Amino acid sequence: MIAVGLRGQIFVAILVSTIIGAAAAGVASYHVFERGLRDAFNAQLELTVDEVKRVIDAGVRAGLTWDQPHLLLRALDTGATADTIGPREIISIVGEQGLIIASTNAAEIGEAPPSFWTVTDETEGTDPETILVGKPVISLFGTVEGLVVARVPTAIMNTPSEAFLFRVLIAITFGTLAVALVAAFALWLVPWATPRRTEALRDMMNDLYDRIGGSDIGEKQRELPKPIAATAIDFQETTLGLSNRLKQETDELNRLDEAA
Amino acid sequence: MVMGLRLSLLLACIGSAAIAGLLVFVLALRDADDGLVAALEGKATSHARVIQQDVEIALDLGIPLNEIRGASEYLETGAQEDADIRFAVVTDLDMQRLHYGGMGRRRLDPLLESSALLNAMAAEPDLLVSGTEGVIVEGFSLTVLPIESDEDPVGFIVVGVQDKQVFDELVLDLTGLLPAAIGVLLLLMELALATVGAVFETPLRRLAYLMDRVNRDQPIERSARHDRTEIGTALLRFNGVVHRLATRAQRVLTLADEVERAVFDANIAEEVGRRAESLRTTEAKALLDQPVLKADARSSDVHLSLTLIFAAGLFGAVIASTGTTALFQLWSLAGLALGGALVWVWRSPGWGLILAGVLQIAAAVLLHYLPSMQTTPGLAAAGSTAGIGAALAAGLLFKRRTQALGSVWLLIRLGLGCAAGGLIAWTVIVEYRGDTAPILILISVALAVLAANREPIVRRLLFDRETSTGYR
Repeated sequence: MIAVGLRGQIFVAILVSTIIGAAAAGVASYHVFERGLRDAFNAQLELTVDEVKRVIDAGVRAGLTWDQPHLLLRALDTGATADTIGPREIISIVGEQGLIIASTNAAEIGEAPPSFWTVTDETEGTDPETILVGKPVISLFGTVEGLVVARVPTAIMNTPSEAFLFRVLIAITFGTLAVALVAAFALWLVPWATPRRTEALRDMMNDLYDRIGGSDIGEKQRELPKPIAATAIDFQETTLGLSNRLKQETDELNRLDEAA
Repeated sequence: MVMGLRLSLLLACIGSAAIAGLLVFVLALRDADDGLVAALEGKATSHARVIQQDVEIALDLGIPLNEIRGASEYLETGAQEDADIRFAVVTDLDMQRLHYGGMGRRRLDPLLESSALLNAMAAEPDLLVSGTEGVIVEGFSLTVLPIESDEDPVGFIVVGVQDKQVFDELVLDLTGLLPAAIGVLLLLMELALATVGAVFETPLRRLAYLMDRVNRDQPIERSARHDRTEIGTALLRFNGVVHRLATRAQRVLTLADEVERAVFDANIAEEVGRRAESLRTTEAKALLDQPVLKADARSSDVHLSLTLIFAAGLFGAVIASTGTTALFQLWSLAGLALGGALVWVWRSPGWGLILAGVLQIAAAVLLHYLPSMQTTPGLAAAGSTAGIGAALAAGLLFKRRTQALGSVWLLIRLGLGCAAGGLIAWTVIVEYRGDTAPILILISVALAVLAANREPIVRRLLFDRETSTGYR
C-alpha cells in the first residue's frame, strides 16, 4: 500500500469508498436522466403520431384513400401536424400492403419497413439506433388501414446526454473532493484513540529497542491498544529483565576474571 | 478497542460513500431536472400549438371564442391523455378563463391571475405573435400562445406542466436502483472489514502472539511481515529487540568461554562454567535457538479479491441465464463443479484465483461480442459459475494452507459477494440495462486484481502447490 500509517490506510479506505459512492450515484443519475430523456422524446413522438393520425382520420372521412400518397404527404404538411414535427423527426405511413407509401424522407417511399414496425399494435422503439413510436390507422369499420410511424435517431440524445455526463463528472469530482477533505481533516486533526494508541505502541517498541541497545531512556507511561496492552507491558518487562540479567552476568564474569 | 475501530471504519466508509453519493445526486438531479423540464416545456408548446390550430379552425368558421361547444371537454381529453400536461386553458385577452381542462377552477384561477404570469406576458414584446413559454408559477411551467381570428388576437391558450413532477419522477426512478445501492454498500462493508483486518487486527494479533511466546519462554519466532504502519514498525522493532538480546546472550557466553579457559583457579573456572551452562539452558535458551522467521496469513491477502470474484460470478451467471431454459441452468451447475474440481486438483490457490478472473472475463467477452449466439447464455453462465467454483476452491486451499482464518471466513465472503452480485444483477435486469453487464464484470475483476496483495511472500504462498502451515 502507498499510504503510510494507520491513519493513511484508513484514509485510503474512506477515499475508495467515497469514489465508489460518488461514481455509483453518478452512474445512477445518468441512467435515470437518459431514461427521462428517452421518455421525453417518446412522448414528443407520440404527440406527433397522434396529430398525424388525426389529420389522416379527418382526410379519410373526407374521402382520402391510401392510393393517393401525394395527398397523404400533404396531410403530413398540414399546419398543425407540421408544427409539431421536430426537425429530425421522420414520419412515415405504412400501407396495408406492408410498404412505406408516404414519408417525410422521400428515399424510403416504396421500401419495406424493418420487421420491428408492426401494423397491428401500438409500438415503441426496439431498435438501439432509433426512438420510434407507431400507431395503427383504423378505418370506420375497425380494419387496420395502415401504420403511422414517427422516429428520431437516438443520436439526438447525444448532445444533452454528453452535456449531462460532463456535469455529472464535475459533480463526482466535487463530491469526492469535499468528502475526502472532510475525512482528511477529521482523521488528522481529531485525536482518535486507536491511531494514538498504535503510535504509542510503535514508540514503546522503538524505545525498548534503544534501551536494549544500551540507550539511557526513561520509562514513559503510554496508553497502548487494549488487545495488546497487558502482553506488551509483560514483554517490555521480560526483555528488560533479560537485558539486565545479561548485563549482570557480563559484570559478574568480568569480576571473576579479574579476581582470578 | 478492536470492535470500535471495525465499527468506526464501517460507518466511516458507508457514511462517506453515502454523503458523496448524496452530493452527486443533488447536483446531478438538479441538472437532470433542468434538462428534462426543458423537454417538458417543448411538449407543452406542441400541445398548445395543436389547441391553437383547432381553436382557430372554429374561429374561421365564425364561432366566437367564448361559444365554442365542447371546448372544455376537448381540453380535458387532451390533459387526460397526456399525464405530463397538467392543464390547458383558453382565455380572452384579459386572461379571463373561457374554457379549461385538467385542473379545477379554484387552483387554476390564481395561476392565471398571478403577477408572475402577467408580468412575464407584459415583458414579452412578441406576445401577440409567438406567445411566451417557461413562465414558472407555483411549481408549474406555463406556456402561453395567442389565438388569432382574421389576423387579430382574440385570446390566449395557456398550457401548464409541473416542474416538480419531473423531479419526483427522477427520485422515484432512483428508488428502483436501491437493490444495487445495497449491493454496493455490502462491498464497501467488505472493504472496511478487510482494511481493519489488514492494517490493525491481524498484525496486532500477530505481535501479541510473538510477544507472548517470549513472555512464556517458548522458542522465539520472528515476523517476516512488517508494512509501513505503526504496527508494522512495532513488529520490525520486535525482531530488533530479540535479535539484540540474542546477540548479547551469545556475547556473554563467548566471554564465559574465554574466562573459563583463561583462569588458572579451578574453582573460578568451574563457577564460570556453571553460570554459562545455567544461562545456556534456562534464561537465554530461547534466544540462542536457531531463529524462526515466519510470515502470518492475513485476511487482506485474498479477502476482498475473493468477495469481488464471487460478486462478479453470480452477477454474470444471473444476467446470462435469466430467461433461458433449464438446460442452460444445468450448464451453470456443471460450470461451478468443474471450476471447483479443476482448482482443487491443481492445488494452487493463486492459479485458482487467476483462473476465476479469466473465466469471468471470458463470460464478459462472450456477452459483449456474441450476445445473439444461441449458446452464449449457457456458456457465459457456465463460465461465471466456474469462476465462482474456482475462487471457492482457491479460498478453501488458502484457508487450509494458512490455518489462520476462521471457520466461517470463506462462507462470509461467499455470502457477501453473492448477495452483492445478486442485488446488482437484479437491478440491471429490472432496469433493462443488460448491455452494461460486461463492463460491470470487467470492473469487478479489475478491482479484485487491484485489491489483491502482491507482496512476494503472499505470492509464494498463493502459488506454492505444496501445503504448509505458514509462510517461512
